[in-house]
Amino acid sequence: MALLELKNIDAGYGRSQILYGVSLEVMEKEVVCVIGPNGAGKSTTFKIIMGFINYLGGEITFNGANIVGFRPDQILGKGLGYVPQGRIVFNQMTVRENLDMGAYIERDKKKIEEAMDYVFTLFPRLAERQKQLGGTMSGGEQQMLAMGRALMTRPQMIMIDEPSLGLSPRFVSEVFELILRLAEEGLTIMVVEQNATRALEISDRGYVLELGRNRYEGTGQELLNNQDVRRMYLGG
Amino acid sequence: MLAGFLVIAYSLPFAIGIYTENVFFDRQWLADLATVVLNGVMQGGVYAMFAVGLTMIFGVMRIINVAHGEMVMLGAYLSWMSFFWLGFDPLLAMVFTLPIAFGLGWMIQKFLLNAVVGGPELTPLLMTFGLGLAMIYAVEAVFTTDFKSIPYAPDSFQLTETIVVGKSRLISFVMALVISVGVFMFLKKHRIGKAIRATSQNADVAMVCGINIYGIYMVTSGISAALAVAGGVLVSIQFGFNPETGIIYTLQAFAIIVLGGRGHYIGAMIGGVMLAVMESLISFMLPNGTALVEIAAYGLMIFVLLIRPRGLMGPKTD
Repeated sequence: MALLELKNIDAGYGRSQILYGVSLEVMEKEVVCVIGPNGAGKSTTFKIIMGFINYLGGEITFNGANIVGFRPDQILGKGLGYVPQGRIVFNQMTVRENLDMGAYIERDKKKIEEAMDYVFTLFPRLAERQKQLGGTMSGGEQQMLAMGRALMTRPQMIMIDEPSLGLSPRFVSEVFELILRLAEEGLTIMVVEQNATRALEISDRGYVLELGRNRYEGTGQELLNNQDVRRMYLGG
Repeated sequence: MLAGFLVIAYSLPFAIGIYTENVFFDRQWLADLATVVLNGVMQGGVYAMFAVGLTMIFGVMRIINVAHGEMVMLGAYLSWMSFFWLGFDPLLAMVFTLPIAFGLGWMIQKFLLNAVVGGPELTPLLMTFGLGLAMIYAVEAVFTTDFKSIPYAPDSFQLTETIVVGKSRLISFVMALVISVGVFMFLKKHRIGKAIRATSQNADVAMVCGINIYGIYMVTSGISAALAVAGGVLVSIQFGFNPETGIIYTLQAFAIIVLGGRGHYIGAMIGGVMLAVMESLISFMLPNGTALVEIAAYGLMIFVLLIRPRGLMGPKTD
């Protein structure tokens, strides 16, 4: 059974519809990427799953239960974490406070400490900079902080929106290595990426969206070998 | 540029005072000046405390709450009722008046403002405007427009040989300080306080952190209303008040948060003291100064907006 399943989702902002009957599913412990040109509705798909924007029709289930109509904080509580695009952190809060906020729904202090230690082993650099303000870190460090924050509740699955956007090549590699490491640890991951080739290489399966509709789907390797996908989205 | 402007602004009362021969520089005059500045600082502490409530709502929800001063006015009446009807010391009565205020702010947020927050900015503004007027007329219906006052600690306190301060003013200042420090500590250390700061920095990310921002909005409005009512209690033991007094406090709180920087708590404290010291310097040194106090205070606000729209401590990106 799929861990996350979208069936015929229509969604949009206000009156403008962005998604037209989008369907996708993510199996447990899978890495799935969503690629497509700008305006394909990739980020919108994440936002509708998290309950941020207008929902027009279709079904979304997580662990077999409906998650339509819930607020983002409630969906997080069901074990679905989200790293928004643009490495957004709380600028006026320290690294430690940022991570503390990530664990807001967790009341057990011991579990918070354990999660903090876990995040610090994933990102030793964050451990060194616990007292630094989020807003004063480099772009790559902020992306790590945003990802670490999303891991503080130890979710069953996380969705990461454009993790490599605007990062230097060194950090891009680090981000992809991290996703692989998390996948090996058994986390289910869905990622939206503009760096489509790299994303498909590390993914079990991928979906190609275009103008808010499903276009192609397949294993990472199938999509990498598909002539149309190569020509249109992978630059030849 | 701002520093230069402030030096000029605060020198101006002295210059006019010298010109109009209200300034003497003898021992007695200097003692009077010290008294006036001290009174200004103490008054500023009280203003700053309730201005923090206004800046919190703005910071967290981007709502301009023009009913804030009416909540201060309501606090003054709650204080009056607890004193004359129930026979409680107004300060001790804060044990129940502040929770009442918190509950009121919570309900206003839950049933009115939560429905319109995040939409067009004008809607919540107009809603608080209507709410403020409704509060004025409701209080007027019960208490009429007569001025009321509370005889509380009317005697003075001899600080040094020459400097004397009103006891009620000193008590108010100390209370305002205690409450402000309490709120700061709550925002800095408490789980919910941190969530309030997180929400004001980025509501979307706060939501994905699992923070129910509508719950945070209700707590914020509750704290804001409690700060306003506390302000009302503290001014009620120093000055007379009537149902229309609140408007002045709304304007004062606005001037303070513009001076200090919108959404900035320490800035509000500094702005409060700056505004009150300016007011007392003017009423002390200018002939017919008390009539000019308001003009100078809002003049200060307008010029700060012109020179540095983000205020003293406001963030650069706005």
